[in-house]
Amino acid sequence: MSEYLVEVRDLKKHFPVRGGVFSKVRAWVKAVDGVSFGICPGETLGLVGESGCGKTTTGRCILRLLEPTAGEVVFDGQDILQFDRRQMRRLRREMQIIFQDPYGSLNARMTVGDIIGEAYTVHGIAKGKERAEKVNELLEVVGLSPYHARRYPHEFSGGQRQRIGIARALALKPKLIICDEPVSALDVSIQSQILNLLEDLQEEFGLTYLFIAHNLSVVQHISDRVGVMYLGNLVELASKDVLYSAPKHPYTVALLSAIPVPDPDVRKTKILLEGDVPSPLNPPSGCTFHTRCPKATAHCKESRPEWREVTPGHFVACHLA
Amino acid sequence: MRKSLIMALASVMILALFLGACGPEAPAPSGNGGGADEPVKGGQIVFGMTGDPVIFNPILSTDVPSGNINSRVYSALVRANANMEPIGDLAESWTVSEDGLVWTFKLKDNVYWHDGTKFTSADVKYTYDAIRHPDYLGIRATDFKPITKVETPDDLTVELYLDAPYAPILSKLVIGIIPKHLFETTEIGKMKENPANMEPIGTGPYKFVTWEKGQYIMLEANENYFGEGPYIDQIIWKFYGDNQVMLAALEKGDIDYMGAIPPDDVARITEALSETHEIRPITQNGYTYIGLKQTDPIFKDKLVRQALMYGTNRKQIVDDVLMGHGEVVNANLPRLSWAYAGDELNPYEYNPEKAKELLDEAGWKLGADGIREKDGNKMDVKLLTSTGNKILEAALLITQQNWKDLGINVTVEYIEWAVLCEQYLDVAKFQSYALAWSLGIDPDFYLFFHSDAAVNEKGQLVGFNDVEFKNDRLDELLELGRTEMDKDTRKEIYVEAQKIVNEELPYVFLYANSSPAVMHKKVQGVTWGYAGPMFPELWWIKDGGN
Amino acid sequence: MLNYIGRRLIQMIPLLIGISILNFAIMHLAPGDPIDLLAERNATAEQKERIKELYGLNDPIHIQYLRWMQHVLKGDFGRSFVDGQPVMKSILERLPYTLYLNFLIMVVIYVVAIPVGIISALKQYSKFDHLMTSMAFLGQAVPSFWIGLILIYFFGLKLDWLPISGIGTIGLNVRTAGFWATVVDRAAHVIMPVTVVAFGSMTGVARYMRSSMLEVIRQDYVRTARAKGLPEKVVILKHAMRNALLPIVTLLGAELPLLFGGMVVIESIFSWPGIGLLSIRAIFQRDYLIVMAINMMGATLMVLGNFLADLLYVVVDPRIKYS
Repeated sequence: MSEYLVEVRDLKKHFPVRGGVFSKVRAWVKAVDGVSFGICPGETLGLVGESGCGKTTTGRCILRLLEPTAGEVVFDGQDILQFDRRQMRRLRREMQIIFQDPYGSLNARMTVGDIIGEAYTVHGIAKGKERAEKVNELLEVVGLSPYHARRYPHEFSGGQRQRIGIARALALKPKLIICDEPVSALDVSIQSQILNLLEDLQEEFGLTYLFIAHNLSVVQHISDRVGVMYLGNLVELASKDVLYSAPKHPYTVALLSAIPVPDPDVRKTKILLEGDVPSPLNPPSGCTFHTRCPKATAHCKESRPEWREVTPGHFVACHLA
Repeated sequence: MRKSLIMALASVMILALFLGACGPEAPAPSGNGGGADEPVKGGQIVFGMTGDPVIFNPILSTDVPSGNINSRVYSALVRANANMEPIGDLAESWTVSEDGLVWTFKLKDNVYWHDGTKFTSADVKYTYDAIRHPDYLGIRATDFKPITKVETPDDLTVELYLDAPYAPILSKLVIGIIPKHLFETTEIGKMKENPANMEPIGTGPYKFVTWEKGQYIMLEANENYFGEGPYIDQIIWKFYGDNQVMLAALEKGDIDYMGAIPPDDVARITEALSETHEIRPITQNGYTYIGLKQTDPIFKDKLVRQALMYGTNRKQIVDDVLMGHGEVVNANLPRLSWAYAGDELNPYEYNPEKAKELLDEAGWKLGADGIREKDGNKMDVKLLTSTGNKILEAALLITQQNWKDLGINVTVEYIEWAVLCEQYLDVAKFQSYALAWSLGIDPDFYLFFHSDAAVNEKGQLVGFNDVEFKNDRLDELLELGRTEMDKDTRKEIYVEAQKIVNEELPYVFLYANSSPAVMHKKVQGVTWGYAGPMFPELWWIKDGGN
Repeated sequence: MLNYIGRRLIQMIPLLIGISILNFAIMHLAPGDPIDLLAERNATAEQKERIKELYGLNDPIHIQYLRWMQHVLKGDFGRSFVDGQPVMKSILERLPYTLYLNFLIMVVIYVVAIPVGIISALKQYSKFDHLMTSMAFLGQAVPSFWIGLILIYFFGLKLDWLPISGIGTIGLNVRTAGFWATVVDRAAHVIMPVTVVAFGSMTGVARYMRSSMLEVIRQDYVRTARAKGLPEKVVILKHAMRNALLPIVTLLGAELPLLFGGMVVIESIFSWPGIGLLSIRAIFQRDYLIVMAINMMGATLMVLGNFLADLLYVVVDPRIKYS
């Protein structure tokens, strides 16, 4: 247990659906419905799934940017869901987040220097000239220049902004950074630059990443282990090599088959999943994937598969595995 | 940013303090107790008014609020008493020549303008000549048309020369005299621009003090008034944009007088204020009517016009719309006039059966769709009226239903006043319209129904006879009424004339309202006449306002 | 930037000329004629012609327009047909009261509506939010004259707490009653009109603020701010509110003309000597020059207000630059 820097146990996040004149709660969307995993120090855990599967919600719940409905988030041995506001604020130094949208995540009315340096002021770490120096250092670390500090976010390209977002996340020297699809919004040519930067920084600062992405190809490069989510649940979790070479869950298999292969001579059967992702408002019975699973049996419709360790370190939730 | 906002706020508040800060101070009540029946000087009376006045010049003003103020600031040669008869004002006495062509007025001596200048016959001549001037921009020119010349043999004598004997002339001379010495500097065509219109100088019992636009007007007693009074020191008219608010002000005691209480509120106000206030119905010197184009294929038939009188439930309009505060009228002179024909008129009591008979007789037969028709023409009537009169709207709803029951299809069109005037009334182009008349004090109604006051050969409306009524006997009577000087003979003439109108019906006569006016009982010495409370210079406040 | 301002100002000239031509044309082409209202009903055509000539209404419309424009450029808006007074004088007699009332209304609206909108957004679906939503519907649905009369009835007549109309007690001013008594008197007179108008209008601003705030607090940069470990107060006030205020601030610029706008209903109910009753009377009487002057003032302020709003964007939003 204690080997994990952060461990998530049976995490749930249900959103109310309101309607009517008085905005009564009509139903609940189970965005995350019982997710458990851990991340070791220095490790990168990839978290993959289609949009709406709850991966981003999971990430935000870990940081308590969203208040989880149930479960535990244990960081450095403490359940942070029990923390009060003050403790939480202090914890912010340890855990940070990089958002997907490099445009929306930077306050347009603040200079880059203020965006990055604000945390120093708030946490009483540095101010004035000292703060400026620290900001400049960070800008250089992420590949920008000190003079950029005086500029506003809109003066930068998407890749540069994401660098600013990374610098901001690094400012407090956190142990854990949740990278919430940090490259999805960027040009393919820029994506690898940012991914390389993240890898370099991990090495330099000993960072732990939870790397959220919506396809397996991005995380393959950067992750040590990879988890796959479907409709608010983890369906498979294994080390990168195992997951990519011997996936157990039909959903993982399907996702893997969708990765474009650079070599045209390699022939792969692409598995097309039929239908859309069911609504988390009204998830299917049994295995939530059975509506789209090519191998589904009658049993899958009725009974929900357990989350079990099929081989050491390889977890999967499937009756057929 | 925050500081500057507070500064801005503070400065606006301070600005507000000085808005209207230049107003005069409320005077300390002067005057001493005295017996309850003896007039005492002092005190203040506050009137409510619903519109801002326009111009304080009696020969230019056309609106009621201006008229109210002008009548206190200015004096005229003559004025009307409570029974609509002319009595002297600036004129001490008058005589008329044998042939009725020259009127000679002796003026009161010792009359001074509010600025101290002595009033003379030159002021009268100036005023009358201004009205007769081709560039004159007011609405009194027709009143003065019979006058060919104004002469002033001396400072206290005025002679009016007429082109023909004209009995109603005195009723036209109730118009205020303006000071020559202030107006002669402006051309007649630009008289409106003269500053004396805004700070009037008159010879009347009250002097103008101030007019805060949209707020109030203040007058004060003229100590040098030539007649009896004034007793009340200060008169204020407060402006109210809404009748309901004015009622609240009356109940609260902010104002002492309000005329024309809306019918719906009379009962409540009577209950609330009858202890402290005098509540008097003021019968309108005028009436509301539906004008019928006499040349129209439908209305040209007298039987049809009579059918409409029988077939309109005018009693119901008075009872339900005016809540009983008014009366049905059957001809065109008011009950208050000394020439009123009264009982001699056909009352046309509501009788839809008789109305239907008359329509049948006239050849308008009921069609399959319930609408009468004759010679292939449907009985479709377009009725025009002006927007903004709630009571008239309600009355027309009843009328419309009544007429529909007779088999007449009525479409009522509400048209903005300016458009109604320009496109329909002033060019005498309409089938029928509903409006009201306010009348003068003389019974003469030549301009209303004489055939010469209709549309001339160029298609222009000459008088007010826009319905183009034509009756030879009436023409004769109206001409006679103007030249006959004897009051009793004139009365006979006008009674006969009213009977013709009542029989021939240029209009469907509807009602005259008599909304109550409310005056605080602290105001004493009030004469209630045809125009409501009259002769304000003789009023006084109980205990002098103390 | 200066270049931009200069260009915008120059662009306003043809725009305003265009507006004035339209304005003039509409006024003169609309049915109804001031002369028919001024002259006797039985005035002959010759008499009317004479009056028209005296008022200069006989010339072709474009000549009339040019003559009007010529005078306006010299600052002369002419004289009213009805009372013969200079148009500017009539307007300036009333404008201070309109400005005074509207300014207070606007301050109340923003001072109340902005916090209300923010709290509604932060406590979305709370009782407070529901209450505010209901009030918003009420404020929009209930006619202001009705609220005005109700207030007058209760606070003016029944409770006798407040004066029912006007801007102040006649004869009461700093000279006669002293400073504070005058402040109290003026404030007592302005409370009800401000309340009625503010109630009707602030709900709009509050709803606007609420939705703007709701949009902003869902933005990633607000999450970023929270992730930084900023205290919630700083997150809301500095990061969320300042951004949510952007559209409101510019709304303020666009509302500049409203400061000068008359309110016929409120002025009628509270006997407020503002510009609204003057313009409505001028319209009904076809007193062209007054209507033209008020319309042109409104148009000018509208154009300036839009310009100001654009400039405010630059001040508050670093993303926007004009060149």
